Amino acid sequence: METTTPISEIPLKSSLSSFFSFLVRLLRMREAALVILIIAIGLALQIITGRFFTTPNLNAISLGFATSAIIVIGMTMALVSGGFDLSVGSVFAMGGVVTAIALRADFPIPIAILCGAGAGVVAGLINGLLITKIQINPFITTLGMMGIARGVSLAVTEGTVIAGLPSQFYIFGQGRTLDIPNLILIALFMILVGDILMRRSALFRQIYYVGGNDEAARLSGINVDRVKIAVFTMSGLLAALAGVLSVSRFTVADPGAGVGEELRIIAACIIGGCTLRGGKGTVLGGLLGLIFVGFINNGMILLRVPVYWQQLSMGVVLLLAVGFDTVSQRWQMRPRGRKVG
Amino acid sequence: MSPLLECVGITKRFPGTLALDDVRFELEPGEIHAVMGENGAGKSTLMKILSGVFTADAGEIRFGGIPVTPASPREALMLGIAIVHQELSLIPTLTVAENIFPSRLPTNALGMVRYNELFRQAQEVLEKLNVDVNPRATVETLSIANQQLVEITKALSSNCKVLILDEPTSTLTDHETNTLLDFLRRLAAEGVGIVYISHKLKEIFQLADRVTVLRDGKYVGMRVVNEITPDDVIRMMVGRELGNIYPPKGQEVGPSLLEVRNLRMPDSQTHNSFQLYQGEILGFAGLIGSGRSELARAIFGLDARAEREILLNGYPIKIASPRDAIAQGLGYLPEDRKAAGLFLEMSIKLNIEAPIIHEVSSGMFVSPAKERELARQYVRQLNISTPSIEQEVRRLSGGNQQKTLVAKWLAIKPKILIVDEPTRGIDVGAKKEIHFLLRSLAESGVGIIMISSELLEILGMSDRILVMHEGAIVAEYSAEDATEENIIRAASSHKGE
Amino acid sequence: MKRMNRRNFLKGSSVAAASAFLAAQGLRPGKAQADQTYYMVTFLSGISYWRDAFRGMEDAAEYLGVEAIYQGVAEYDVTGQVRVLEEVVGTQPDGIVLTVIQADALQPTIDSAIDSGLPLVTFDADSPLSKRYSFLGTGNYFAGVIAARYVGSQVGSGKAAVVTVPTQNNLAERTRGFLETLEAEFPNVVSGSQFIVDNQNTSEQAASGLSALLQADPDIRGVFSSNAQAAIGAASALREAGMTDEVAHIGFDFDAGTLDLIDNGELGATLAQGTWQMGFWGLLSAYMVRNGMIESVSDWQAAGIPPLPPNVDTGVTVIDQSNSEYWRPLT
Repeated sequence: METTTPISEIPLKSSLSSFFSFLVRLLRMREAALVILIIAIGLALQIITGRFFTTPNLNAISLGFATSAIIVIGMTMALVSGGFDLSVGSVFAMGGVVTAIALRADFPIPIAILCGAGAGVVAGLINGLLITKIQINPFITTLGMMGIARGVSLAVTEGTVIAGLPSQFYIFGQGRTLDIPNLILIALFMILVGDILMRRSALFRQIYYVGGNDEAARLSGINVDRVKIAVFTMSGLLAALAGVLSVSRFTVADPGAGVGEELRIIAACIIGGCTLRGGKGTVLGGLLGLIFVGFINNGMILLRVPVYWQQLSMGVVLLLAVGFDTVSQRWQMRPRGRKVG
Repeated sequence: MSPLLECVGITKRFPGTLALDDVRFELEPGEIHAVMGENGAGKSTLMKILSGVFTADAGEIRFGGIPVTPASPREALMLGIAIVHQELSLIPTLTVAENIFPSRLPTNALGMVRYNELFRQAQEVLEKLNVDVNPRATVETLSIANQQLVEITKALSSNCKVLILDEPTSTLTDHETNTLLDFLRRLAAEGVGIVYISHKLKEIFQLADRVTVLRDGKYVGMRVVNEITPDDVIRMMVGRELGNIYPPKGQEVGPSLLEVRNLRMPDSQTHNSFQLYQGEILGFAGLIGSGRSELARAIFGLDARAEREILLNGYPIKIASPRDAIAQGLGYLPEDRKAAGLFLEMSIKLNIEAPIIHEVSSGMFVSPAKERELARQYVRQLNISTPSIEQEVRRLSGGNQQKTLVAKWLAIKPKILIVDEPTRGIDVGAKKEIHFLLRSLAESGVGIIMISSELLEILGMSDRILVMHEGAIVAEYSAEDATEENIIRAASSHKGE
Repeated sequence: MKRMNRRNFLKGSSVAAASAFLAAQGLRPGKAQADQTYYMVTFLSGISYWRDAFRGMEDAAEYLGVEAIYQGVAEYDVTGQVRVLEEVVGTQPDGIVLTVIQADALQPTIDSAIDSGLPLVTFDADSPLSKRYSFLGTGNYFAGVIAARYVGSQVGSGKAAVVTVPTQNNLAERTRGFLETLEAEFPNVVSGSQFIVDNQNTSEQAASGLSALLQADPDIRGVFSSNAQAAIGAASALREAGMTDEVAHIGFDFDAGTLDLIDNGELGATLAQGTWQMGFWGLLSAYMVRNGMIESVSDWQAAGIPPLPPNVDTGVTVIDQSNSEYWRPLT
């Protein structure tokens, strides 16, 4: 049997031990552990190479994952709801392509961005409807959408990139405000909003309930289908917006952009504390996962790990990070007495 | 000559309960021996000890006169003891033959399955048992009854001498049941000893040679079926003092609160109607599968295909989803708390506030202070034993989990609470607390519908009792008139000859 | 719009040049062969790279008055391409212009087509041991050599990086040509496998990878991007690091994006393969064999000698600011 303390006794504990238990709880939080890990990796790289914590390097790393961070927001929602979205990489390309076509057709910039975002909303909405109303599982549904969105981008561009966009459009991806790249500012803002909404908003809280136990959520009066549809729609929207920003950064819309992005994003979210079963995870955790992967990638290049070894190392690091966490969780959960079902 | 299987002094203790206390049982070759008892009497625990799932804390099992202690189902199977569970363990997409020999497929030198040999062996076994099923058919294409026969064939194919069947007819039609009973008789005639667990008195009297009755984990007695009547068995199963785990009954009942008219489930012709009064605990008794949970789910808006009219305080209301039900002040505590009730990996706090997130929010954001206050209030009120309101629910004991679930529904300030098996699998202390809580809720004017398979709970708690059988409400008793005997009779539709 | 431009360009330049050449040889367009059908067979058939080759083939077909049909397998699928080729051979066309996904896998089908009297030439990627009459293309290795000479000549001394996909065969060949030529011809420009960035076929990965490498090694003065996505990502990385003007950057293949980068000075140059040439001369070669116009000896078939030049180099062109305008209409 577990030994538990009635809640009324807690104030009687000494303040020292309550500080200690706070510390233990903090360490148990995935975010805190990741922050420590990330700082440790950064310090190690700084000591070994002497050029990790430099403004250009940190700028380069942040630019590298700015668009991914926006996709992470939507993927976190999808994972928390108990599903996942394999179509983000393709929708990312499609959002960029649609916006570029609109710009080439002389649409005003805001309208063109809305067109790209709209394409993402449509893709996400279709995902959500298929998953809830037709009950095709998220793997098959989003795998299908992955092909469809990529196919749409390839078909409308005939496989070539779209360039020659108005230069004012590049302000999002290339401009700077107070000497910080706009792309980083936009991504940070969206992450912040996403994290707060997922943490605190009553509406977004429903996503956790749906992912935690969708039957219990339904019994608790939550409209499970509507939540899932909204989640996949937002995932599509955010992926498309990231694609638009990427076009603004690279000056061209490439129908082949974002290949493999879905798996990188899912990996980052899982490192950040999401699970494939759902009900768990935060946007901040996903961002930290992304930073962690970004640091490792950057570190391997700084440490001159040959390119042929980089993928192998990355895979090992992923498994170690998640495996360590799973084992430590199980250790915490180990039965203290013999339990019989 | 010693019996085929003999158990003496079997005792099994689980945390908080004594599941089996000095139980004995015996089985002769070729005998069909029924084991009866209410839910929680210890039948399943005894069978799990015989089939190696659990090990007894004390006592001896003798198999053919030799003491044995099967430590796993595999060991039991090697001894010749096989069990067929209520839920079938067949793999629906594989053939009958592959299911019969799952770990003993005949292979060639390359490790490839020799299918012709497999089908021939399966055919042989099926013919020997007179089972008319094609070994090449995939299991999912068979009727439930035939699947059951395949399951039994699978159990017998490993040279089994004792066959344990746990409620084998609960999903079968009458005709299929008869086929199965014939089959079991033939099997017994060939010398296999059969342990038969069932709630259905009629079957026991058609089939069994002897019956052993358990009650509250204790051995009550063993009788030869020819020498007794169904009423004798019922008397053996019940007849116990109601402990003080039940609060005193309600004093007075208010006006009609909820009226359900002409509730018809999609695949049924039966129309059910009933009333629930303010401050009343209305018990729903019946066997498992008698349609009580389905009825509750239909009222709560979980079955879109069910037809019914619902009146609250005399006015018709529309409940198309749980959301509507909650808005009307209905709460529903489902029978399977882990699968449908709780968010196991989430905190007590999040569980309690799930249906009323908007009430702990200011504007569009959840207010941490309000959520804490709500959770603390109910943790205190229900005496949930936990170090913190942030504790994950899966780490709580069953009783505290159930209290958390009750707390969630109290938080919506319900007018009507439907509770389905509210105390299943929890210890006596927590059970008592939940019983008193339900009563005090009723006294504050809430109408409570309580579904329970535990007769004592139904009798101890209810102000009025409805009995269901095969989807229909077949009897109604006031608290004074209700006895265990007449409820069991109504629930098994045994009209007391 | 785009198509119009392409047509005009075509009328104005290549066909005129080609027909002038053909007329000088005393050959006339064969109106009598109007019912002849020639196939182009590719793999990864949706990618834009083949479009220019097929445009060349269409131009030749228009001139010769025959029909050109495009076929291919959509995936990078060896058995898929064998199957498509067998189906095309089965329709008994008048000739096939084929690019080869895997030399050995396609050899039997190629040989049996030739044995049945069907003229077949390969382009861009060859099956050298097969009986194909001719191969028209540029070696990927040689393209890497050109890139190395461009970078080497611009960078006096320093280090050079390669942005590529190490797992993709044709790109690996380009990389090998680049690295080996630098080592042999420009000893002051240091490169090697530790200077390779894996862009996983996306601009994002190219940008973050090269950014990191620029931090690791501030002495990088040359970059070879072996595919179009790599060039676009690497150009962004250089821009974001403020190093555009210090680094000689050459890409591979051209599209609207790379040409824009060249024109605004963010990409030094890119390499264009003679893909139009492959399609145009590929069809002409097959046509000539099919219609008995090869008279190198009295009867080449009986003599057992090849009818066509076995290897035709269609060349690699360096596109930079000085000539990028001529490639514009093609994108």
